[in-house]
Amino acid sequence: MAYNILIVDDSPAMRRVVKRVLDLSGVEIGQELEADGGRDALTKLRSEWVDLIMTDINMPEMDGEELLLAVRQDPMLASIPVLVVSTDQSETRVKRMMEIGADGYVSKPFTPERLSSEINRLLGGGEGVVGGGSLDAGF
Amino acid sequence: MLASDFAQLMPDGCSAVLENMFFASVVDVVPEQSAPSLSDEAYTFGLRFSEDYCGSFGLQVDTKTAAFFAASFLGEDESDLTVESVKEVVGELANMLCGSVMSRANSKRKLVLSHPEPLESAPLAEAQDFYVVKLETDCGAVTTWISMEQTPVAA
Repeated sequence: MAYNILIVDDSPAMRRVVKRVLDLSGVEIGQELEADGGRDALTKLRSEWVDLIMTDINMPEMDGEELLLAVRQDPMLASIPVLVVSTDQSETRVKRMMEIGADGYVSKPFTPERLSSEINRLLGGGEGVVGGGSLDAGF
Repeated sequence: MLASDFAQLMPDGCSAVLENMFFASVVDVVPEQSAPSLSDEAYTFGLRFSEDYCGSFGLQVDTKTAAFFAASFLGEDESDLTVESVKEVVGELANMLCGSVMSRANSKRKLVLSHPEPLESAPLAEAQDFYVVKLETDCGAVTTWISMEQTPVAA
């Protein structure tokens, strides 16, 4: 089964890095969609089916917390797993995001193995299933 | 919290980012008296943090080191990188360094970061409370600084 993934981050560089981890994760990818913020993400979510949302928090206009709330409040989107990928490692933030419905939280900096493990877990591949290309050589 | 409180947090926080995502090892840490001047040979970025702590964070890295970092981060050859993509990576580096350092300041406090932008005027020109450190890595040097604007309200 090929999965559609939406990557939400206002940093084009970070979106490229996440895409690279996805490509090396062993998960069969259908489409890798990108959004540069919460509003852009919602627009894309309402036109394409997505199996996993990976989102940053600190983004202009609509941040990751607002996006997550909007997703969980929309019956058409509420069941989509959401993985938060953020520089904010504070207990307050992590707790808040999990309380409002995030399914996982990976803080930056991250190792490709860590991010890949979470992706596989949320897509039903079990814990730490890493296949395909080598992640040991880094990104 | 004072800027001088970041004397150990800055190297620790920055090292974690540089090693895990840019594959650069910090080999020396040199406190500086002031932030570097703007230069055509370097990229200088800054961002603001707010919520429980307020202030600004900045970094400067020479263009050659920045290109090396960008290639490592993106997993591409330096020759394939554009100036724009290198600048994007430096901006993301500033974002991650700030997040990593501030998260170490107090793991319970929420963090809100602005979008990193290239600086167009001298860093820390009007800052009263700041800390500057140069991190020598095996791939080149990164100078970072933090300026605190107010003490947090007690929780």
